Amino acid sequence: MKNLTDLEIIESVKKGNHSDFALLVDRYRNKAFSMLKRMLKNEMEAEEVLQDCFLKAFKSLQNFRLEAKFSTWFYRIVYNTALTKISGKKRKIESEMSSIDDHLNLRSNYDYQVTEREDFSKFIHMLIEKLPAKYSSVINLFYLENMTCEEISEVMETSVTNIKVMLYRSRNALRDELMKTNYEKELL
Amino acid sequence: MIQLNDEILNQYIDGELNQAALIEVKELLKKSDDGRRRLAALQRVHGELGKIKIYETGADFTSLLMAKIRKNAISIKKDRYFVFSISTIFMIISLAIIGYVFTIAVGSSSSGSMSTNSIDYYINYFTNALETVRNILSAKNISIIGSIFSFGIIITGYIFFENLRHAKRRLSRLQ
Repeated sequence: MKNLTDLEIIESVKKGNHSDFALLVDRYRNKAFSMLKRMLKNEMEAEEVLQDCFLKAFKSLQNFRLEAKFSTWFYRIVYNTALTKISGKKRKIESEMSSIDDHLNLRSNYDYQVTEREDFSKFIHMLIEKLPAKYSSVINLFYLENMTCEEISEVMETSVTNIKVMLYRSRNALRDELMKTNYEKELL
Repeated sequence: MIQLNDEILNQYIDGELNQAALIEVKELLKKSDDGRRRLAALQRVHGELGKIKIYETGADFTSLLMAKIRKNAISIKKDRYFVFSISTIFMIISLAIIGYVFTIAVGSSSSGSMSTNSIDYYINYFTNALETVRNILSAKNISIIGSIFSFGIIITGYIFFENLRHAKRRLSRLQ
């Protein structure tokens, strides 16, 4: 059963085998949860929103076109639900959502002296957690889901150019932090 | 002429440069210490991003979610049953009223002057039916009809709250 493709599972669920939906849940829950946790910066909320996303997906499964890719369709639900949650909480969403000209101030509240290679790895992963919602979505979809920029642009309903700009800026911002550390001596 | 800017370095990492551009960038990198340093840092970041952590949901996430889906499916079925039951009750009440009107109208038509003309008969029949409806909806009877509908609404409310109570009990058992 676990070797079934997404579309085969969906067809089975549509035929009335509702329990097969659990296969899709198990397939996507951790990666979607990682994306939500990085977008919402809160574990409890991320799990709550993820449950809503799966319920929405289950209810809308009858409308799902089998020629489309389930992952793209599902992550669009995840992304939009997370944005709704963020806007509902009246966070500073304008700075995160409206423009790709956002300022990535990743090192605002602390000073970190990197001495060890392992420390650097931890440092970079700590910075990843600080990325704004839109940027972290791009990073998660690109590196965790191995989506192409075209697929990510479908999920986030924006142009491929915007996605590339966000991806490059995220990397550059992390790279700039790295260049400020002692680690740059190791690079050459 | 290509310049070793951040965009080019990112495209280099993603393998998006064509052959000619790739050769040119490699030549430029050979000549630029700063370029090599920025590329190495970017590659390190790219490597770390490739090892980005996957967080895990609670172990019982799927089972809780599926229980919720099953509960929703049951409640949808119950809602449908509820709507069907209420529609049936109102349908029966409406049929009873129509039947009553029909009986009275037929009785009045047959007890009235015997007409051999069928058109006259039907006109007479519908006049009687309208008269009966008017009588039923008269000030005297309207309170009876109101009572019947109120009774229907009370029964509907009772069934509705009973459904809610059952749903809550099932939910608490699931939790």
